[in-house]
Amino acid sequence: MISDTISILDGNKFVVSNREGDIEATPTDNHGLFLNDTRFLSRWVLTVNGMRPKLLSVDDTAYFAAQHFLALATGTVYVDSHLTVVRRRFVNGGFHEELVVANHDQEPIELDVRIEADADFADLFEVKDKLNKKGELYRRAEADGTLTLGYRRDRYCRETQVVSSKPAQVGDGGLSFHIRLEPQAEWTTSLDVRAVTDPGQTNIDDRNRLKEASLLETDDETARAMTGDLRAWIKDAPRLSCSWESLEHTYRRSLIDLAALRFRSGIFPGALPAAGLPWFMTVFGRDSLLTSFQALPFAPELAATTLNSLSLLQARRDDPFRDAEPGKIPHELRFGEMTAFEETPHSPYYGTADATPLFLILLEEYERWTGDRKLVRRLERNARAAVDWIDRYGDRDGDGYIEYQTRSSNGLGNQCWKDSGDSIAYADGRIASLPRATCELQGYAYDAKRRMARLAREVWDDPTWAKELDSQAAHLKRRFNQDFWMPERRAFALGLDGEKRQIDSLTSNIGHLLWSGIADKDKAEHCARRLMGDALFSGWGVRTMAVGEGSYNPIGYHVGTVWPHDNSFIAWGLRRYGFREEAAQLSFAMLEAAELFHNRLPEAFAGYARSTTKYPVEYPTACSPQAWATGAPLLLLRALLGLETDGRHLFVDPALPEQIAQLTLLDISGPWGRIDAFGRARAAVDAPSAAG
Amino acid sequence: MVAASASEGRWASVSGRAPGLAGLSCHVEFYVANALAGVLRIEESGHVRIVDEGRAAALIAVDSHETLVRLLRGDLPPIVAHLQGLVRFEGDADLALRVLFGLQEGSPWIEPETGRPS
Repeated sequence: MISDTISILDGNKFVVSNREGDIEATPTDNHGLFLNDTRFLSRWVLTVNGMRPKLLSVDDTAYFAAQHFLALATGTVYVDSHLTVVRRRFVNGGFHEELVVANHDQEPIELDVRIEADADFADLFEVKDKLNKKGELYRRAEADGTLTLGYRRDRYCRETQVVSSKPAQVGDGGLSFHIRLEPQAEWTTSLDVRAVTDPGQTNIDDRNRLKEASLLETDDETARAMTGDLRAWIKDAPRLSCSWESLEHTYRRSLIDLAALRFRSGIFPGALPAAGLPWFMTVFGRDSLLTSFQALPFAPELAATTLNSLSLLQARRDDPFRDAEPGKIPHELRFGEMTAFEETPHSPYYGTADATPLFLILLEEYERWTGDRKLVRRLERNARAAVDWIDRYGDRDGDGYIEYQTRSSNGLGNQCWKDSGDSIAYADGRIASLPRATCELQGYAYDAKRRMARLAREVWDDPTWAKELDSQAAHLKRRFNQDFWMPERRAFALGLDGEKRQIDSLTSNIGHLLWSGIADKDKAEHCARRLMGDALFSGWGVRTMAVGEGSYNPIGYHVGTVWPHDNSFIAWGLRRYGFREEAAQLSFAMLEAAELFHNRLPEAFAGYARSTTKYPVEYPTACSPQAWATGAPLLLLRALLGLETDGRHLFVDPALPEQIAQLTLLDISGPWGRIDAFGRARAAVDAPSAAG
Repeated sequence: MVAASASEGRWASVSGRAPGLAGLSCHVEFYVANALAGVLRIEESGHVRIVDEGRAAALIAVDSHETLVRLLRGDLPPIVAHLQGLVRFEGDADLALRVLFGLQEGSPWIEPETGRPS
């Protein structure tokens, strides 16, 4: 499906326009220039002699830049148009647009070129929920020709400045140019739209930008620097070659999208993955942690920044409005007006029951893949606080399991990854009572404690704590396999409800139990069969909820759709328990779906059976690119090649489907230096082989 | 800290432990209402005191004494203060934010029982 919008982005700065390059925000079109969860431009419309140029084509091959080729034509007729327009745009602290108007006629022509500009400074939550502003909008034409659009509420002030390289008539509605073009002549102007978060003061973020800007004298150089940065990012990642060309494209697309989603803020060192375009271009604990995990063998620096940034935001206090308790890792951090005035709790909001154990899981995984013990030592205090949160606050009622229930007037009902309102339901379709202890949370807690035991033993020099953690994990595993197992369904329950009854629907969550290692081996075998059976496996991937459950809906957000990230962790879990063929089958199916989505997996797609459709069916409001969907092919590759490390050596144990004759990943970095991994299909899935 | 300070002139003599700052070892400059209020010296143990000078890695500028007290008492989340323009950071912003979060866990400038400036 061809989208009717074009999005270019760089972390949390992004522009959404129509295909002509115009920005026209309406209640149904979420166009705009967005930065820090605020829309700094809601209208940016080009007219020539009162007419809108029509689209010839659009080129958005770089994630941060687009070119729109237009022609002035009457009605829908393009024939004999002698006037073309090109808009070249890239994102920086706002965006830069080069506007080129060309006269291909034999006669000179007089033109009125006009850019209408306006900004509503809407918080992203106001855009989503269609809320009104509480402060005052203003605009002024500066003496130097700059058009300033502004918004003020108490001391909160945001401005958009529009500057043209050619003299413009600056009025209330925007910028106008009256030009005369000789035959075969061109006219060009550069338009800079700057988003200013602290007008009147140079804040630290701006200062850093100024330092960068002093090295980059022209916009061309800025664009070149961004291109160079992307090139270096791709060069630093392992190189992939495959007999199946599509996988090479998917891999490259994943790396580019991960680069695009790198979120930088003046208050964090480095870049961490933002969750997804357009609504989630910010720090999400769970999303950043899982994406960093998926990307570890490919871009380990993401994990370092994620761990650092989340440790900074780890809760120190009990705060019901934000669902915060000491030691808890945040769910979501926002930078918009509603957060600033505490109308929403996102400063940050802590309504997630899984980010805290996932933080610990990533910390240990990071240490094995990088050998960076310095960071692990520095975060020991944070790790201890996180473990303490699991025992003291995560387990609300002392039954030994993590359960959740919001304490905030503005909090999330479900605080697991399936966080929509209807996701945690019994098999008959009723919504489960609160508080809820979903099964994967217990798996994460088990895994986190085992991993922390290793770090306590090997890095923090605390064998007593290590022993205690190992013992707690073993106890949790024993109890879990009794309390959550449904013998009649031969699967683990989705969770326990407020009355400690099993929430008995069959869902993809059981795949995460394989990833965490909490499932007993005999029960894992049943789970593997269930995951790859017709009720859960659609042919493209494992559905979030099985066909036949009361709530099942193939286009229900968390009750029947297929989520690529979910599947990548399931595939890795299958590998962990030795289900090589199942892992290969699932990985290949998901990568085939990626091919049909132009090599970019969306956040989710519909759960229709593959036998009924040649193409996976789109989920209408899926984010794309979305961080953990972008990371999914990377973890699937890890599952196919069986990449694992003990912190000293890289182990390669390929298990390829017969459709992939050969797969090579070169220069995998780690404490071992750089190592290559090779895999090739045999009649059956490969037997274990030595590292390359 | 500086809340009681400026008027009573004794803030600089107050020192003690700020448990949330344990593990940091640095100097941070504090400005309150556009005036230098002092340099906060943080030791690895979490012991803190005000010194006349020191090579600061970060600067924290707070718009008023009232804001500072609210920050120290934990009534005002540092991110909210930052977004509202009540506090600004220069230099190592990550460190500055770590210090503000850390001070919210308790400091010698706030009475733990009453929440009043010491």
